[in-house]
Amino acid sequence: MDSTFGIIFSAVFVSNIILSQFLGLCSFLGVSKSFKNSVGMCAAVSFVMFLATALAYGIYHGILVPSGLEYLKTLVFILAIAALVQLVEMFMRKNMPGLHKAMGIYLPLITTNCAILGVALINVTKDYGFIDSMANAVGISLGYTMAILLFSCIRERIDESQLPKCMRALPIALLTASQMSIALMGMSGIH
Amino acid sequence: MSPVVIAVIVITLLGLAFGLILSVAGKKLAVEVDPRIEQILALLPGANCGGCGHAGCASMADAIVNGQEADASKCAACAEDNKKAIAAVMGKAAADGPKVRMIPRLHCNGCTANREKVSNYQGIHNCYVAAKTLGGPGQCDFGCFGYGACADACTFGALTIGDKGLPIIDYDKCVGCGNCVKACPQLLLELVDSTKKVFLQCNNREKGKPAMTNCKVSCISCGMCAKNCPKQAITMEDGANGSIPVIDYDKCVGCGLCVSKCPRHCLVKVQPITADAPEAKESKPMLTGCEACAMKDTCISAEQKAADKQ
Amino acid sequence: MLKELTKGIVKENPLFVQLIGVCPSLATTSSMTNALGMGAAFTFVLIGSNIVIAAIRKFVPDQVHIPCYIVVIASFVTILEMIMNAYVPALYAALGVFVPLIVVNCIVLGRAEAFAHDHGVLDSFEDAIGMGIGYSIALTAISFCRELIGSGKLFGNVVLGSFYTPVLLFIMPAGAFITMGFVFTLVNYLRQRGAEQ
Repeated sequence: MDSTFGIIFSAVFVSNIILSQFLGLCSFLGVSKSFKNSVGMCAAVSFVMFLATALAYGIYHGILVPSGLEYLKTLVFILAIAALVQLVEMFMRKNMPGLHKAMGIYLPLITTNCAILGVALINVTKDYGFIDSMANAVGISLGYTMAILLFSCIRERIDESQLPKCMRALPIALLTASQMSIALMGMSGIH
Repeated sequence: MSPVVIAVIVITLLGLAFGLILSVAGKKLAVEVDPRIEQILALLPGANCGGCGHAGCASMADAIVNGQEADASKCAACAEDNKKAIAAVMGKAAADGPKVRMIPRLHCNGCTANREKVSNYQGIHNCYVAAKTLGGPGQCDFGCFGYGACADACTFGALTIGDKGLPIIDYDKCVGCGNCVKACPQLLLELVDSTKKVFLQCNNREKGKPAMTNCKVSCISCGMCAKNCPKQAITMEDGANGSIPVIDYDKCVGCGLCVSKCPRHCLVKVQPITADAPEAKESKPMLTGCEACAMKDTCISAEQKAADKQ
Repeated sequence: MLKELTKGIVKENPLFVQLIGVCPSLATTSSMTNALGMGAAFTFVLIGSNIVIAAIRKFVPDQVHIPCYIVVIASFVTILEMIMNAYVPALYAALGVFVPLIVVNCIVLGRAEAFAHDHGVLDSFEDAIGMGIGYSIALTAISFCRELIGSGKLFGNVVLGSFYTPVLLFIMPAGAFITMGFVFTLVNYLRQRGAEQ
């Protein structure tokens, strides 16, 4: 389980960030109404998650642990993530305008995304080294991508069908997510 | 040193570091925006209809300033004066745009009264889905479904689906951008000269008996219109199982001989539209902010905002 | 005065009406103890941050107000973490990463931005209590269904006798989605009926 490959595999399938650990649900339910938006969103999330995990690891082991301030990690992580996202957006707008047009609008949504802060905190709780932390980030963003792309494809079809009025939009989306979660339950127990 | 002091110092330093990095980055990574883009954007209609082929008026303004577009002539909704002003901003003289107003008309009269119903379709009421699965409404494979792909595509609210299951075009709102023409999967809408008086209300490319059973007012490819036109403005375009007349509006004078000869009454006289195209100000607003949110229908803040407005 | 207090319970219930704060409501409702614990923790942070933000709102410049609010909320969450770790370590371990994630909970930041930013200390305090109670009630309702159907217990005590075979699916993640889906169906139905009348 603690091998690097095991971390990635379990992050994608066994304990999928959305369908099993429930982090990042607001963006998942909101953005997945159209496939194109989902692609933009998961690109943005993967990108930010990678950078944010590296930054959080650096700050935690470089600044907080030596000065005995581990209890301040929540505060410092969220500030670092907010500053990072701001910086990335400015950099993208200047140097990569094509990419900025494609996924720039999703960046502010990611600042308060539970998934980013959640990954940083999980890495600390499980006491991963640098390689394992980055592997965790890669695995979780792959899991997020898989879940949101599949979900948006299904959702685009379901939104066209004639459901009873009280079940449209959110309730049927949640029930669909439950089916996906049941499907992934078959993977539990693989370590 | 007491832990509290350490904590305060470290957090303060971190905060200052972040703030410094962000303000330096803000200056160094500032993007210079060409002021001409703002000027041109103000002159464009701002309806973001997409008829020009660009993703919104801002994108068109960008393209004009970059040189991708020579001027605003692709914008159907832009007033002539504005087009000249845009050319002036870019330092050029504008070419004179087309003086004739183009309007969309529907090549179908197969409303619910006229066509044979074949099945009780319970599937998804979407023109594209129906075109792929059913092929056609009722027995005619070429007609209008009436599920509103054209109405959805129109950002000016000029198209609605009427009681009879066919789109109704409001020419007081139509600017001639051509979005509806591109949206129809059956290729039934066409932009024609607004002053012309004759129009073919059918798209059926079969002939004889099959065409007759498809719809009460279908074209049976008899060719009487083409034979009788004094200006030879009508040609019969061949299909796999029949043909369909095509009117050349450069030659058509609107005499109406073809209309009187047509045994099926699918070539009809239409009312020419003499009014000018409306100013492209009223349009469906582009969905941003709360309007684009997935929770829009159930959000309490949206309800409150609406209640506050009243 | 009581209006600010009671609106958070029914009329503007953060979960059922405003549809925010969905993540923790799925994750922490597998048992009623966890749900109530989460509700209490959340209410503590909400009250504290609403009061402080309402108190300092006039001194914070507009461009930096979001990071300032986040610092205030994060401080309260850190205090909460330490208290929970000391006095209720079992609950703290059960809630796991969702305690520090109260920082990015949409409700806390949302109420700070929408309410405490513009209203006085007393009003913000009542708003926080109302929202906290409303959210706790919502969490309790969901966890009631999940724990009862999923394990035949309530608060860890066996309620349904041995004749009942628990539907284990309901205390797993999939069961959370199913329960929430049906709860929202019921909420939508009641709201539509209310709108028609």
